[in-house]
Amino acid sequence: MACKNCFEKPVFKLISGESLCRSCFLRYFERKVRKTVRIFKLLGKEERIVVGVSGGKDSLTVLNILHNIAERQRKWEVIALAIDEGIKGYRNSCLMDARDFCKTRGITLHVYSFKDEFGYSLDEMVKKLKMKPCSICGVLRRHLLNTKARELGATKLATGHNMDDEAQSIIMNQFRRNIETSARLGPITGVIKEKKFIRRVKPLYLMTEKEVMAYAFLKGISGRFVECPYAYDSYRGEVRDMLNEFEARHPGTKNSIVQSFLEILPLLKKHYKTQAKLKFCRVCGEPCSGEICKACEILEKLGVTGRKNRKNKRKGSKGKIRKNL
Amino acid sequence: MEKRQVRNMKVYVEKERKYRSVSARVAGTVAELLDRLKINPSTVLVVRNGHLVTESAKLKDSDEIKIISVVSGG
Repeated sequence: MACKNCFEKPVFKLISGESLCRSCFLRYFERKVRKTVRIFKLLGKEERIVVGVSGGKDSLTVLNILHNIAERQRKWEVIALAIDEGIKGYRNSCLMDARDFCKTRGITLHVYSFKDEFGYSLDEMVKKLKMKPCSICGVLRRHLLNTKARELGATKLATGHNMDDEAQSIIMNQFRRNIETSARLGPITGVIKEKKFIRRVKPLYLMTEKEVMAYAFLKGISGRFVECPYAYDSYRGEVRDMLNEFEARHPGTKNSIVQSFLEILPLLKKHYKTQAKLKFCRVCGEPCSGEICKACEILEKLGVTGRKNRKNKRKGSKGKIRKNL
Repeated sequence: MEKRQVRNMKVYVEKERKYRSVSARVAGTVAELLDRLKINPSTVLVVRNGHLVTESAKLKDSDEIKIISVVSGG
């Protein structure tokens, strides 16, 4: 089957069953990302966008597209922020890709590590705590992304979350009866506006993981295949495999999950907006739902006591901000 | 009578980090190749001789195939 637009050799088959050639696919992808930004009002005319990068295909694709738009319209400033969790044999190689990518495009990259910020790498935390690695990593990474994006003066924090990630999160929350958590999902995260929360936006929200990989491959963005050594232990991994099986048998399943969710999301946000009472963590002062935020709960278990220590750590790490320009 | 040398396709499966040898006569198209290797097509991209191809692409024994995993590593 030839490309549906120009009858050239196809490189990608869409969920609709139509095939596209290289140039038509790249145009389709970039248009759809721009449309996602427009219809969900993810970004305004003037923004200082901090893009959270891991060095993987998703985050580098977002960074590439937003950087290209910023180059043309010049009212957006795009910088990159990476978190080094300290996972031996995994994160170093990804960060190397992120550094190379930013260096060749003249994008400023800031790297912060768990070790510098909290005193322990994720590998060390996993040995010390009886918790699932993904539970520690997810909480502390989100915490650092928000605080560091704010320190960098971000008006928005863009991430590389795609349709597959969102479908997995929706199903995980359903299976665990975490509907309140689902209310915080969507192309713009959060229920309540609060200046300490940098709003996270997901420009790849409507793109499948396979589409993102195809775009990254065709643009020469995707590098090596590396798998997190802790991925075997994740609930998300199980849900991902289940959804992929379903998608193969019933194409369009993930799209249907996300589109159905988008129909009920405004109701969920409205419902939980009236119920939600925003508090501030008595240890670090960050906004949270309880007395102590999840990040401080983990840090207390580690023996990283209180705000004083963490402030000192932060001061110490300031000199270690690495930039590429 | 001279025997014709049978040369199978070289198929590199990125996730397994290893090569597999498959006859193009058995696996006529990309979809059939993935089915034979028991790989879910929604989780991979297939690159034939350096170019991305769809599942309906026909294969030859002289082709070099790379199967790329689309699933994030984290």
